[in-house]
Amino acid sequence: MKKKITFWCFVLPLLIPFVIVVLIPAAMGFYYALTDWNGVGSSARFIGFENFAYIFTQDKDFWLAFGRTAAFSAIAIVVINILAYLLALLVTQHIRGVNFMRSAFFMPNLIGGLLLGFIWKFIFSQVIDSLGKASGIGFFRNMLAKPGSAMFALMVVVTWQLAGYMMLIYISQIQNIPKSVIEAAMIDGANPFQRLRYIITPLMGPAFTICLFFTISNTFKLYDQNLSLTNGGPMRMTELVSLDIYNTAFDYGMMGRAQAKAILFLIAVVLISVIQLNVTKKREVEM
Amino acid sequence: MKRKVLALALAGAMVCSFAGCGSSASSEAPAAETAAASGEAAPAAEEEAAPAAADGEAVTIKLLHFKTEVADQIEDAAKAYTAEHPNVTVAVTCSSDYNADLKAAMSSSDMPTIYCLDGPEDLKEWDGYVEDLSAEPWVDSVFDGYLDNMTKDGKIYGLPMTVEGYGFIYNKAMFEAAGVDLTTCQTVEDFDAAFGTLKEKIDAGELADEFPALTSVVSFPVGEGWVPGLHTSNIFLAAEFDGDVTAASAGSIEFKYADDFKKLVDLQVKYTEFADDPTALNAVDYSAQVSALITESCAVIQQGNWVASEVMNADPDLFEKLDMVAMPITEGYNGKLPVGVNTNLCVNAKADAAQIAAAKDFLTWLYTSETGKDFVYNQFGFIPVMSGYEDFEITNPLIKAIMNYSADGNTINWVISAYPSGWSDGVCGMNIQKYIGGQESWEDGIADDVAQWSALAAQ
Repeated sequence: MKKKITFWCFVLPLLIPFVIVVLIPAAMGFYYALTDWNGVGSSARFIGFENFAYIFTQDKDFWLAFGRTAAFSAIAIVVINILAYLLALLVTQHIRGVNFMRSAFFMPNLIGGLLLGFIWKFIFSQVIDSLGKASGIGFFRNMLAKPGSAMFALMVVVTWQLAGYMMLIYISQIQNIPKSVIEAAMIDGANPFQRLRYIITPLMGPAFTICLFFTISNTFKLYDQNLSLTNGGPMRMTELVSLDIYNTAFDYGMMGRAQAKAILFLIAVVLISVIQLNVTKKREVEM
Repeated sequence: MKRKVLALALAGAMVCSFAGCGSSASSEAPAAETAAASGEAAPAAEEEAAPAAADGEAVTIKLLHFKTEVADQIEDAAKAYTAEHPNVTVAVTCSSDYNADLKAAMSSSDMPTIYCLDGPEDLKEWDGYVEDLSAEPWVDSVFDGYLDNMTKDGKIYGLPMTVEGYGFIYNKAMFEAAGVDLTTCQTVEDFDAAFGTLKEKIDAGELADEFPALTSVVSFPVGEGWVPGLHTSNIFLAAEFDGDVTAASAGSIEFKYADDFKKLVDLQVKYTEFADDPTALNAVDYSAQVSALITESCAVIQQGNWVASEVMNADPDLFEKLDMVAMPITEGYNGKLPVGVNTNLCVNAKADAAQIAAAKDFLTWLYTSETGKDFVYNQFGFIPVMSGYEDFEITNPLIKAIMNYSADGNTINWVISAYPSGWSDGVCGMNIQKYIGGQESWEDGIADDVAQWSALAAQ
């Protein structure tokens, strides 16, 4: 009996907010996805699966945004994690200024995504544009005006922001590797590259699992940087799914359809994340 | 070991979610006490008794608007009103993402009392949320036509905030130095010739001493979807429907003057600094365009009188040199300046009676009392929509230009309020971006515009 009370004492404070702010809104959201609600008052009319039917049969823009988001995430995940891992290796070496470097690499994460987007918008349209003008490299001219280079610009911003954070997770894992293992490898004559390849990297499993999970969910759900840096432009060619959903809801006033898109998106993100967690978990090496 | 990483990760996730909350909450209205919220369920019949109650009881009304360029001035006006009416607090929120914020605010318990609606489309959407303002004292003094957007079944639901006009805003000094008179230009060819002369002089370096920063004739922000998609398109659709909003709201367009539309877009592109590589225009936004005018690196921009406060704050001397001329439309409509009511102040019918009474009184005060008129005219820089402002002297050159066009009858009404939501930026503006980026022909873009108009209007 006492055990039960203790159990609920610990569970309820979390369970109640979870139900109120996650489960109930999600259920309401699912209902709204089945209506033609335009966001005003209680004007919602039940229309069954019409929204989903429209999305699957006619909504070209949504699937374009979806494909773009998937491609963007795929590249960003690789780039961010490689960079973060390299940074983590760098700042765990015994060199001067390591602490400064750690905070410098992490700092972008403390700036809000919106602000970051606006800062970089200025950098891309003024600073880098001037560099392009001076050096004659066409790629640097008006990067935000061309879909390809605008997407590249978005990648730069997101990488810059997330790499520092992932670096922190990698650092903690590197520091958890017992010195004895490394020393043993050194005595066996392993050179630094071999130590990295055969000792350190395999022991990084748990960090990879978490970092991959974070980068996947963060890049898939990317919204504020997208909004402030390009706002989907030019020609909606850099519009990622979150922005597409937002525009459907508030520009076109179709809350019901936006909600239906959001549900499809949620299912996709959950599926991808679960698969990733399972795959990487299996590959973790326990000591 | 695994656990530590997990703990760190979870802590990180929490930080992330807090950060997320922080950034989204920043646009929220300042939390204001709603002393009158207790009477929420007050039936409409009690309204008659409300003005008396409003004299004594503390009331807070909330004003939600999107006129970012006069956000501070509107707050000053609200404070001035409270100074005269100590029991009424007016909490003003200015939103740069208005449609989203309005919907969010309306579905919360923190509803705005006064908010902005543009026209018939909005009235339809917000049916039941708009208070009948037909009996307000200012109704009779509003100039003919300005109430049309907010009239439904013979009742009036909104106070037109101001009228605005747009066209080519140009730097008179530059054209004078080049010996060109823009005021006589009517057709695209006229403007082409005038801009051409200025461009020759710029390229030849003849104006370099006087205007060292001047590099191009025009700055055209195609990246800002609404500039071409909303304003440029509007003059051709206004011509198509002869300025009749009701006819334009019927659900379909022909885009009769699409060829003239193309000529005007091409004209502007031709005289920007990116004429050789127009794709670059897709990254030029409103602020880049206005700063080009302010820094004198261009001579002409397609904008309206709303740029006044920005230019005036940055460079009052330059502001004196500005003038506005009507953009070429088409045969029979050339030389006509598009002038219209951009938005209207509406009162929320779902607010409680005391708030509604206070809101009505605030609007009447703002537009008819001497203090209020001074705010509206001198501080906001609004063009009057009603009689009673005859004593004010016009100093703003852009307003002067619009008033001159109005006095000569050379205006055409906006049909912007008939646009289906999402069409201007998302469809028309985007098709122009594609055209300028070389990804789509003009004709395909227009065909898409026409098809999407019908599709969006049907929803």
